[in-house]
Amino acid sequence: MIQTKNLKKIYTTEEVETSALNQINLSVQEGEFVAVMGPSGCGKSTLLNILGLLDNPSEGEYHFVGHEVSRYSERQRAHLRKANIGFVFQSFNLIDELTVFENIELPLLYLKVGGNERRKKVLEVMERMQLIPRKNHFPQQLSGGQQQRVAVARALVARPKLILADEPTGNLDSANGDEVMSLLSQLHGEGTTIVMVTHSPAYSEYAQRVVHLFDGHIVTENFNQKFHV
Amino acid sequence: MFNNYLKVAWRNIILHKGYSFLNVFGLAVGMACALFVLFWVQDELSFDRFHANAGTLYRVEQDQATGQGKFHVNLTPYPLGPALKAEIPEIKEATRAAFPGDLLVRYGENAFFESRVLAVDPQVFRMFTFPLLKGDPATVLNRPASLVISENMARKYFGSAEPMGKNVTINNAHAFTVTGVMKNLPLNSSLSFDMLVPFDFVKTLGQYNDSLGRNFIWTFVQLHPQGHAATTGAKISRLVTNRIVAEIGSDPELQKRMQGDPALRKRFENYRGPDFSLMPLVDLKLFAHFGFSRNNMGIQYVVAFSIIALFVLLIACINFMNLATARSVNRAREVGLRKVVGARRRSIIGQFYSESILTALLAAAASFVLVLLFLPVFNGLSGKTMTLASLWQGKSLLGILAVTLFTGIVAGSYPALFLSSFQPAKVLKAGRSGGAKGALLRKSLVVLQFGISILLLIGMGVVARQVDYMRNKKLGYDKDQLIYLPLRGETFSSYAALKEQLLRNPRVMNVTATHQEPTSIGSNGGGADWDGKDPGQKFLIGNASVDFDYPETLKIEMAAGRTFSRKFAMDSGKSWMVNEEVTKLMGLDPAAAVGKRFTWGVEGTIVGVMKNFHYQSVRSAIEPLAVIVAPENFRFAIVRLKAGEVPASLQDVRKTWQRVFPQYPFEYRFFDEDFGRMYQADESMGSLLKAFAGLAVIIACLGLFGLASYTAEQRTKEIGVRKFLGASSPGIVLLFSKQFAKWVLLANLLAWPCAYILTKNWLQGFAYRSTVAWWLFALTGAGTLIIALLTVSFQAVRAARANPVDSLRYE
Repeated sequence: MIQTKNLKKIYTTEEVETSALNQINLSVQEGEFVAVMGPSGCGKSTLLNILGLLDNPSEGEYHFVGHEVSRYSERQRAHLRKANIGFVFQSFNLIDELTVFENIELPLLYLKVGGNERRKKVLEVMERMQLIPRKNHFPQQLSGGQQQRVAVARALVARPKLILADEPTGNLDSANGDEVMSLLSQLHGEGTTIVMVTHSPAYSEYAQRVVHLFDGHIVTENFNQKFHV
Repeated sequence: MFNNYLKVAWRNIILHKGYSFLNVFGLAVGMACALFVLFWVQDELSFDRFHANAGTLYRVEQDQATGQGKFHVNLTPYPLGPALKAEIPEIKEATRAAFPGDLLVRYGENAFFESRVLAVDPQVFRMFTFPLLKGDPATVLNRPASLVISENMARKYFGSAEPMGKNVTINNAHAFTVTGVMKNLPLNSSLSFDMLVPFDFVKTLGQYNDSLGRNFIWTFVQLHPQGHAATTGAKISRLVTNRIVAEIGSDPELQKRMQGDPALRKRFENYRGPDFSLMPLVDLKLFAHFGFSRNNMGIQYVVAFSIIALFVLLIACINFMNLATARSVNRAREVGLRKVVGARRRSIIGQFYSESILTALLAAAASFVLVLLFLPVFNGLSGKTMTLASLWQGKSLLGILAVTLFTGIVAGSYPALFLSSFQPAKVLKAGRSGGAKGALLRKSLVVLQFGISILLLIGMGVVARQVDYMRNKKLGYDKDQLIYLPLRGETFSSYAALKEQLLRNPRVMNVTATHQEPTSIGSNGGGADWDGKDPGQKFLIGNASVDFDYPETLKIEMAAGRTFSRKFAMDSGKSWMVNEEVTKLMGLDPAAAVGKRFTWGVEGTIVGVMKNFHYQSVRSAIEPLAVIVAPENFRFAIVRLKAGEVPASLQDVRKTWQRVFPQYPFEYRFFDEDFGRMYQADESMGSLLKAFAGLAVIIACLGLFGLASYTAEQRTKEIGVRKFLGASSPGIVLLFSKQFAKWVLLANLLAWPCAYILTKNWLQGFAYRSTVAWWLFALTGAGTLIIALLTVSFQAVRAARANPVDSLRYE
C-alpha cells in the first residue's frame, strides 16, 4: 500500500538547511499496523505528514495505493487524501465551534456524501465509539479521552484504507490511552492499515512492526513476535 | 456544505461577542455612511430623468468671448425658440421658458405673490412629462388667458372646490382662466414652478425684446432621435450670427459709419456671435454652470462624498480584516484540519467569504436601522427630503445589496486568501502561524485607517475655516441692519412716495432702491464703451439701476469722485458710478477715471468710483460694475434701520408700507440672512464632512481597541514574565502604548502631505480664500494620538494590572 524510495525532506530557512528525513525506504502492506518511534526531532512527524499527503518530499519516490505521488499538487493530494486517509492527532484537533456529530460529519461533507447517507454513517460510527449520548455536545464539554474518541470516529467515518495516528495517546492519561489503543487495535483486527507515531514502548507493542527513526534515518525495524507466531 | 460554513460562522460570531460587536458595529456605521451617500447620489443623479423624452431634451446655452475670458450664459434671446424650430431640421420641438417675475395672483379674498411662475409655449407638454390631472395637454395653453396650476396651487386658492374654469386676476389687471391642473412637480426636477402661463403674457407685461443679441430667458429644445447635440449647437451659432449680422447690417446709420471707417467695416465683417451649445436636461442639476468659471458644486460634491463614504467604509472593512487576521492563530487549526479531512483551498476561501458576507449582512441590517434613525439628521445636513418610502424601492434595495456584497467581499478577501493558505502540516503541529507577515500587514492597515481619518479631519478643519472666512470677510459695505423690500406690481411706481414717508421716521437711517436682488447683481453685458477703449475688445461689465443714496445707504466707501446727487440734473440717468474693477479695465487710477466719458446703453460721464464691494457671493471674484440712476427699473427698496432698535424700526417700516400700499402684503429680507444663505452649500459640506470625519475616527478607534485587546491577550505571558523581572505597571502601559503611538504618528506623517495638497487645491476654487493653517495639522496630530492612546490604554492598563502568576499559568 505504501512504498517509499530514498525519501528525503530538507527544510531550508534563510541560513541553514536542515535535513529532516534522509534516505527513507519504507513499505507498509495493506492491513499492517506499523509504529514509528524515536526521540523528539528525529523526523517522525515529518514522515507521517509525507505519508499522509500533507506534505511533499524533497527527493525520492512515494508510491501510495499504486500512484507515484511525490510530485502531486496540493489539489491532487487533497483529492487522494480525503478518499483514502484518516488522521488522528495528539491534540485531537476538533473544531470547537462544531458539535461532536458535526465534527465527525465533516470528512463526509467534503466527500459530498448525500444527507441521509451521511447521517447514517455518522450515527453508525458514533454508536460504535459509544458517542451517541454526546452527539450534540461541543468538544470543550468532553474529557480528553472522549475527544480523542471523537477524533478517531472522524478518522474512521469515511472508511479510509489508511489511518495515520500522530501520538494519539500523548495527551491522555493511561486509562484513556489504553482505551484508544484498544480501539485502534480493534480496527486493525478488522483490516484497517494503521501507521502510528508514539513515544510509548508499551503502546508500540500493539503494532506488528516498530520502525525506529534517529536523525532522519531508519535505524532499526522490529517485528512484533506476538503477530508472527 | 454551505450550511456548515454558516454554522461555524454563526457560532464564531456568538462565541466571540466582543469582536463580533466591534466588527458588526463598525461595519454597520461604515455601511450606513455609504448608504446615505449612495441614496444621496442616486437622488442627485435621478434629476430630470422622469421625463419620457429625457434623453433628447436640451437647454440652449452659449459661451461669449470677452476680454476677460469665456463667459458662459444659459439664458437666450426671447425670439430664439421659434427660429430654431423653423430653421434647424434636427430640432423637433422648442419651447421658451421665461420667469415673468413675482406676480400678484388674486382669487376673491385670496391674494398671494407667486414667484414660481413660468411663461411657456404650449408644446412644453409634448416635450416634457408634466402630467395633467385635469385639462387636455394639447390645448391647455392655447388661449392667451389660460392658466395651468399645480395641485398645491389649486388647493391654496380654491380649497376643495373645482379649480377648472375659475377666473383669477394677475397683478390686479389681467384676467386668467384655469384650464389645467397638473400634478405637483417631483422633487427631483430642476425646473420648478407652480403655474404656467402662455408665453405671450411676457409681451403683455412689456418684458419682450426681439433682439437676438440680448439674453433673458431659457430655451429648451427636443432633438430628433438621430439629431446630434454638438452639430446642432454649431448650427444654432451660425443661425444667430447670421441673424445678428443681418439685424445690425440693416441699420442705415451703421452703414454710413462703416463707409467712413474701414476698421469698423472689417470688425463688422469678421463679427462672430456667441458659441451656442446644448446642455442635456439630465445634466442640468450636476453640471450647469454660469459665468467665467465652469464650476458646478453639484458634481464636485457627488464625487467628493462618494470618495469620503468609500473611505469610511474602507476603514470599517479594515477593522474586519485586522480582527480576522489577528485571530487567525485561533482559526489556523480549523483551517488545517479542514484541509486534512479533504477541504480544498477553494472551499476554505468560500467558507471565509461566507463568514464575512454573513457579518456584512448582519451589519447591513444594523446599518439600515442606523439609516432610519439618522435620516432626519442627514436630511437636515444635506437638504434632501428622503423618507422610508423613498428608500424602500428597488433601486435603493439593490444599492443596499451592492454595498453589503462589496463590504463582505472587501472585508473578507484578506482573511480568506491569507487563512486559506495555511499549510496543515505546519499549523496543526505548531499551532502558530502568520506571525511577522500578518503583523506587518495589520500595522500597515491601521496606518491606512488613521491616515484616512486624519485626512478627513484636516479637510473638515479647512472647510470650516473657509466658510468662517467668507462669512467674516469685509464685504465693502455694512450688511447689518440692512433690509430690502421687493417692489411688486404697482408698488414700484409709488416707490418715491414710500421713500419720502420712510425718511420721515428717525429710526430709518436711509433708503435707496435697485433693480436686482442687492446681494446678487447678476446682469451684465459687453456693450460698454469709454474714451480710449480698444474697439476690438469686448468686456463684460455688470450693470445695476440704483436710486440716489445708494452708497450712503449701503455704506460703500468712495475711492474717488462723488456719489449721485439731486443737485446735478445729469445725475438722473446720465451719470455713472463704477467700481474700482472698471477703472482697472480702463487702465486708469480711480481719480483719473472721474470725468471720463462712459457709455453703456446710455452715454454719460463717470462722476464717482466706488471702492470694490461684494455684490455677489464671496466665492467669486469681484467683477466690474457700473451703476446709474434709473427709477423705471426699481424692483427692490433698500432700507437701513437704526442700530440697536431693529425690531421697533422694522415695525415702523411695516406700518409705513401698509399705509402707502394697503393692497400689497409687506415682505422684507435681511441682507445678512441672504448672505448666510449663500454659504449654505459650503456649510452643509462642512457639516457632512464633520459627521463623516467623526465617524471615521470612531470606527478606526474601535478597530484599534480590538487590536489592542487582542495584543494584550497574546502578550499575557510576556507581560507576566516582565513583571516577574521587575517591570512596573506604568512601564508595561508605556511599552504597550508606544507601539500603537508609532503607527498613529506614521499615519500623520503620511496623511499630512496629501491633506495639504487636497485642501490647497480645494481652496483654489475660491476667489478669496483662507490659508491651510499649520496648526490644523499639529492639532489633528495631537488629537489623533491622544484618542488612540486613550483607546489603547484601557487594554494596556488591564494587562499591566493583571496578577503575573495568573498570566503565566495561562498557557
